[in-house]
This record gives sequence, C-alpha cells and structure tokens, in this order.
Amino acid sequence: MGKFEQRWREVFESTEFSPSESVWANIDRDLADADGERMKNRIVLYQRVAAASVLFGLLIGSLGIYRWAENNNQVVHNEPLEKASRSIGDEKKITDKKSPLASTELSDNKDELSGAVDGTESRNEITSSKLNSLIFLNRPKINSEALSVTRNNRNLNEKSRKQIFNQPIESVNEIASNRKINLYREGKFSEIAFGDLADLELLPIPQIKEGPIMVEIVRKLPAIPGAFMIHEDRKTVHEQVWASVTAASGSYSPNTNSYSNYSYSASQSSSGFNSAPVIGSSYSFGMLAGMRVAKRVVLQSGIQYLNQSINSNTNIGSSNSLAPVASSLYSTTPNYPTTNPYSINSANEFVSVPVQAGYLFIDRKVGLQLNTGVSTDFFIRNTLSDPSGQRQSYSQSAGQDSPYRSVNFSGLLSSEVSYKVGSRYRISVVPGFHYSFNPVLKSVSNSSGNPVAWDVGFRFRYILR
Amino acid sequence: MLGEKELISGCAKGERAAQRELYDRHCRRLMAVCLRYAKNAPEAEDILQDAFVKIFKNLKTFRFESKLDTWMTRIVINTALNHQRQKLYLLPMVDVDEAGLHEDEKVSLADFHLSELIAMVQALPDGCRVVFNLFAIEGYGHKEIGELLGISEGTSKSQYNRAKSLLRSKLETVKVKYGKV
Repeated sequence: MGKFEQRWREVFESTEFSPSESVWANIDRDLADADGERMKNRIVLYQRVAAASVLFGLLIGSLGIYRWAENNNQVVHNEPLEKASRSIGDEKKITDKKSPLASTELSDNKDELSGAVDGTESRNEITSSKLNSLIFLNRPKINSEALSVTRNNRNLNEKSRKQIFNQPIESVNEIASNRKINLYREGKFSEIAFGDLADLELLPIPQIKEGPIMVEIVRKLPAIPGAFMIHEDRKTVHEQVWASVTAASGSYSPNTNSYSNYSYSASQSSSGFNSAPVIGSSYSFGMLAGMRVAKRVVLQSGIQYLNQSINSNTNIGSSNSLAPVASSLYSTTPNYPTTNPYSINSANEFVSVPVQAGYLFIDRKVGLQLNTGVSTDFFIRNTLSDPSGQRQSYSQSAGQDSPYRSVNFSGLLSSEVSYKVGSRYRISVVPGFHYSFNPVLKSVSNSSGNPVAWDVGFRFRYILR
Repeated sequence: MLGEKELISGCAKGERAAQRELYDRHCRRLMAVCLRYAKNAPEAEDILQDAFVKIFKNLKTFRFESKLDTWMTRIVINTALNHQRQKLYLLPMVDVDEAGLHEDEKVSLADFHLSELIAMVQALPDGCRVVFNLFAIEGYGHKEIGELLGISEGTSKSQYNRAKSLLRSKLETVKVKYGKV
C-alpha cells in the first residue's frame, strides 16, 4: 500500500455525513410495505386453506354419496354365493315367478329331449345354480350336440321336473353328490357328477347355426337387510344441542376514507410521501351454543370478542402524541399539527353477539352447512398506536362524546365444513364474511363506508345431546 | 441505551424503535461510504435507503462472526455496486506505467475540505471511482476486485491508475487555484 492510498484512507476512515430525514421516512415506508406484504401473503395462505377445506369437504361429501350408492348396488348385485345356494328352493320360486318363459321351455322339453336322444330335434339347456342363473339356448333342429340335465339318469319329464324343483336341497355339495348329469355329445351319453358341471365347456356361439337364440338371465334380488334401515333412521336423532368454542382470523377492510385522512397533510408534502393504507387484519374468538330446530335447520348464537385493525401512514400528530390523529377523524377543518411521516395502527375492539341460522347440506360424519345471520357488535374501544413506539398509544371508547358508535349491526355469511370425532365432538373449518350494516364512526365524522371482514375460523363442538 | 445484541434482536423481530436506533447509530458513517460510491448526494441517499432495508431484512441471519460495523459496511458496498453495475462499462485500458507516476508529497490532503475530496472522488468516471474506492479505501486487491466486478485484474489496475492520475491532477488544479500548499 502506497502513501497515496494511505492518505486517502486516513481521510475517509472516520468521516461521517448526516443523511436527510427523508431517508428514514422512506426506509420506514419500505419496511411497512414489506410487513403489509407479509400480511397479504398470510391472508392468501388463509384463503387457500379455506378453499382447500371447502374442496376437501365437497370431495369427502361426493365420496360419501358415491360410496353409499355403491354399497346399495353391491347389495343388489353381489349377494354372496353361499346365501344364494342355501336357498335354492327360493330360486325355483323366483325362476317360476320371474320367468314364465323358462317354465314353458322346461315343460316343452319332455318331448324335445326324447328327440335329442333319438338324434332328432333337441333343445340345449345350460343350468348352473352356482352362477345363480339359468340360461336357455333355444335352438331347434340341433343334430350334432345336445346337453340335457336329468336326475338319476332319467330323462327329464314333467314328473321329474317337479321332483327337482319341489324337493328341498340343502347345499351345493348335496347337489353334487345326489345328482348325475348325462352329457349327450357326438351321438352318445356320458355320465358326469353334477359338481363337475362348471367344467363343462359351453357351446361356442359361432357353432350355433340358424334359428333365434334366446338368452335369459335370472338373478336373485335379495331384500336390503333391516339393519340398514335402522341405521338410516338413527342418524337424524343425534346432535340436537351443542356448545362450541370458536376462533377466526382474516382480512379486514374499513371501506372508509378516514384512514386516508390520517395522511391528509402527508399527501401535500414536498417529499411526495405515498400514504395508501395497507390491508387490515381481523381476529375473533368466543363461545357459541346451537340447537337443531328441524331435520336440516340449526340455530346458533353466543358471544365473541372481535378485533379489527389496520395499518396506515400519516404525518398528522406531534412527535410524542397521537391525539391529533384521533381528533382529525371528526374535525371539519384540516388544521392539524404535522410531523415527519410515520406508521400508525388503528384497532377497533367489539363484543359481538351473533345469531345465525344454518342449513345442513350434508349431515353425516362429514358435515357441510351454510350459515347466515346477523350480529350485534358492541363497541369497546379504538386504539391508535405507533408501531415504532415513539408515540404514546391513544384510546377512545364509545359514548356520547365519542366519534364511534356504541352499537353496530353486521350481516354474517359463512360455510361450515365439519368432521365428527367420536360420538360427542365435531371440529369445523368456517370460512365467512362479516359485513357491517353501518360505519363504525358516527355520521358527524369524516367517514363513511361499511367495514367488511373476511376470515377463516375453526370451531370445536361438544355435543350435549 | 440498548446493547448491540439487544438492538439486533429487536431489529430482527421487526421492532421499529430498535430499527430506528440502529439507523441513528450507523447512518452517518454509512452515508459517507455511499457518498464515495455515488455520483451525488441524492444517489448516495438512495443507496443508503436500499442498504438499510436489506440490513433490516437480513439482520436475523447475522451470526456475530464478524463485527456488525463490518457486516453493515459490506452490505452498503454491495448495494452501491449493484446500483453502479449497470453503469459500469469497464473497458480494458492500456496499463499506465506505475513508475511514470510520481508521488507528490507536497500535496497534503489535510489542506482540503472533506466535501472537496468527496466531490473529487464523485467526479471520477464510474469505473475508476468504484475501483479506487475498493482498492484505496476498502483495501481489496486487484484480483479480488476483478472477481467482484467480473473484470480482469489488468483492467482493475489500469482503472485504478487512471483514477489515481485524475485525482492527482485534480488536487494540483485546486491547489493552484486556491493557493493551497
């Protein structure tokens, strides 16, 4: 390092220059924007969670409906084989009752089967009680192959047919041991056990020549067990009365120009300080009680603490007090003391009494209900605070001299996706809107506009009975 | 008055009072750094603003492995370099013969007001100014400067020699003009 560098370094080593005050104001604004961005991201996350919850609820609901329908179909179509076999006597009745054609065909068989033995006209019959169906292939004038089913090597005639179907048969095994089948093929009979019937090869369709082919499938249609019906009825008698704790958080928009008024002087300043308010936040918690007033209609009410806050920027006020900001809300003359721009937080607190009616779209283990109603919001106080801590917080409660209304009314709309845990508990995700019917500030103030809050809540319900 | 660790902890939590305190403690020293790298005071303030926002956003990653002053200065220099980067067209220059430059011991920097010296540095071409600051004031080597700015070591040297030459002639001009010896 040469002397040249050494001299310059010594000069600048302990040099200090004061930046202008606007540098900090801009840094403060950038940091506030970054905080607002983080809040926005958080709200976007809440919105996505809510959307995912609704989708999840719909998916579960759809799946439940699908499974319920599927189960009903399975009861009809997939009755277990052993049940069907056990009641083969019933099968006869069903065959006789449901298929008069089958009876006719069988009764006609006595002559035709004789003919088959003689190599004249014949009729193919393929019967399988295991498959729980009868298939009749009506093919006149078959000379090459004929298949007949008889009992104890006798040709099927009217008498034996009655014996087959009137005699109670206990099981498939009994059928296999007691019955023999004459298979007439290639001009001669061969005897096989009934149990081997399943191994018989069916006539390939292309080999059947000429004449109409009638295929009739007779299925057994069992009744739905009574237990299913009892289960259905039982669902509606539960969850008559419940109590729940609830908490929610989300975004809040005051929909008012009062927060812009905070920065009235700032907008006129030479620095061109931009004072657009950032999005606010809201949270609430409380207790609710509910009861079912009809099969699908519920009523719920309770008490909640509600906090709605918003950050903004202003240059109204003094270096250590926020009182001028509060008075600027209802002052008619813009004669405020000003200072360097700074961030400000305004939080409104309420005790809220909601009354809501809900309609149950899905009332099962997974529930979906739509709630609507009104709430009476009793104003507790507004607190203005400086996040940097340089100025003392300033609070105003409701009252005759206060610019804030003592009582506010709001409309509520929410959906509730729930899941029943055990027999006594139900947890829910509740995305909803909270729309105030009146401004928070009285009409004498510099404000108009009805606040809106959008939040996502979680409820834990204890079912009393 | 908060200690350094409490201050850093408060800033990392986003407490605006702590952030303001940290800013108040360091802004003047860092403003001087910005003034050396910028063309003028408003540009220096822009750099300072961006640098402090970065400092507050990244303070939670500060591991106390170096001094806070050094860490903050490095962020300010990097921010200044990013500001300058688009303007930096450091074309390779013909090396100025070091032996040809005589060390003028007669000109003492103490004869000049600080604002005059700052103005001389600010008057340097962008590339020369950055290399001069990095080499002469911050103490980086030409190899490091080359890596930092994406230029060759030779270009860094030639830019520095040109800065040196320009500053020397400026000092002599002012000295003659105002009779400073």
